[in-house]
Amino acid sequence: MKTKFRGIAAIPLFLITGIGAGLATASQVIEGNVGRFSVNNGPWRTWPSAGSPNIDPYTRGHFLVYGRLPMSTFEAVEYIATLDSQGASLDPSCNYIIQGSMAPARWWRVTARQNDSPEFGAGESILSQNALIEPNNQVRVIASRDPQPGNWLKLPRQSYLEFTLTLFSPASSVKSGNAAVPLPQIVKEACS
Amino acid sequence: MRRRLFWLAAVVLLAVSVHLSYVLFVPNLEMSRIMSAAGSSHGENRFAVLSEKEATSILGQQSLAFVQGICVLDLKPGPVLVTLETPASYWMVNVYSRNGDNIYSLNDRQVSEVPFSIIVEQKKTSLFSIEAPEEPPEDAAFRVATGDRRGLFVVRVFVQNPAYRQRITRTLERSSCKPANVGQQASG
Repeated sequence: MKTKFRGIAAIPLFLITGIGAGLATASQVIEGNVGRFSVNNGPWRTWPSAGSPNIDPYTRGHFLVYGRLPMSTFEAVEYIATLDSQGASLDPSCNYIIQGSMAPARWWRVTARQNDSPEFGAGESILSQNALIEPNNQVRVIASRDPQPGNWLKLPRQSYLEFTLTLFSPASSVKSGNAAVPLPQIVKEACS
Repeated sequence: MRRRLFWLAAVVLLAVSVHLSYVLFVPNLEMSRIMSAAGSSHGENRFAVLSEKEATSILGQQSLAFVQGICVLDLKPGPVLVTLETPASYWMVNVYSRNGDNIYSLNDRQVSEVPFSIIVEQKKTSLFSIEAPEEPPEDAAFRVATGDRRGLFVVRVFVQNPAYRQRITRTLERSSCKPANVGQQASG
């Protein structure tokens, strides 16, 4: 009787553990935390096979699970940062300076947003043609909830933050996604 | 000991099944949702320029940087002809298969004349055929062949200045998407 009860009690545990482990591992690989489907470049992470006819299922999942259609790396290369250059998680209550060289492309865009939200508000995105560019193609963007001089990237009010850097019509050196192209650093400043 | 091994193996098997199901099926379901949402809003084989709100709800991406046009492709009746009127700006065309793979890309640097046409057709899959090869249904600058009966055509035009958005939208609205043999049937 006792053995039978233990067998029945094991079924929910079996289901919870199995389903949980399956979803957790799938999510970790899709987010690029595990596996070799994404490439890290400083704090930025990209998916080199995005938008190619030979896209792998994890890269396809990375975009389509959130309902986004991947663009070909021939047209645009997208980098995502959830950590700063010191490896700390991004905190929207802090100010960040995104500065350094920008990889060669016709245009670029830096966006601050929640991971699961397709929307971003006014000011939560900076386009290169509206940005102040320093000599030698150096970029300096101040990400903050409060207005800042120069290139101000408004941070959302939510508790989670990620930066997205999209290079449109990138140079051929960037298109593979694997090369160590120059990308700006993300430096944490004061927190409120 | 044997019982524990059994449960461990069962958990691993279930985890692998859930992992593969999630990775393989959820993206396909999401692509089906995108195509259904686009098809129910604008119909199939019809070109539509999306508002910012629609771009967010259908394509999952807010289009502050782009004006986006779509056509849900139904290739079962035959090839589909997309004629694009694009403004003098950076733009890109992507054709997505039923499972969300980007099977074709094109941008403004590859096209010298506007408007221009793209034919999207289904690949012939039969190994043996005694029929004569079909004549191309329309003159088109570009041809795309896909193994799927359905797909999604997306054009994204870069908005260099928000003041140009209306003008870009009006230009792109002159584009069309229709079955390629409609004109021939009407004239024949």
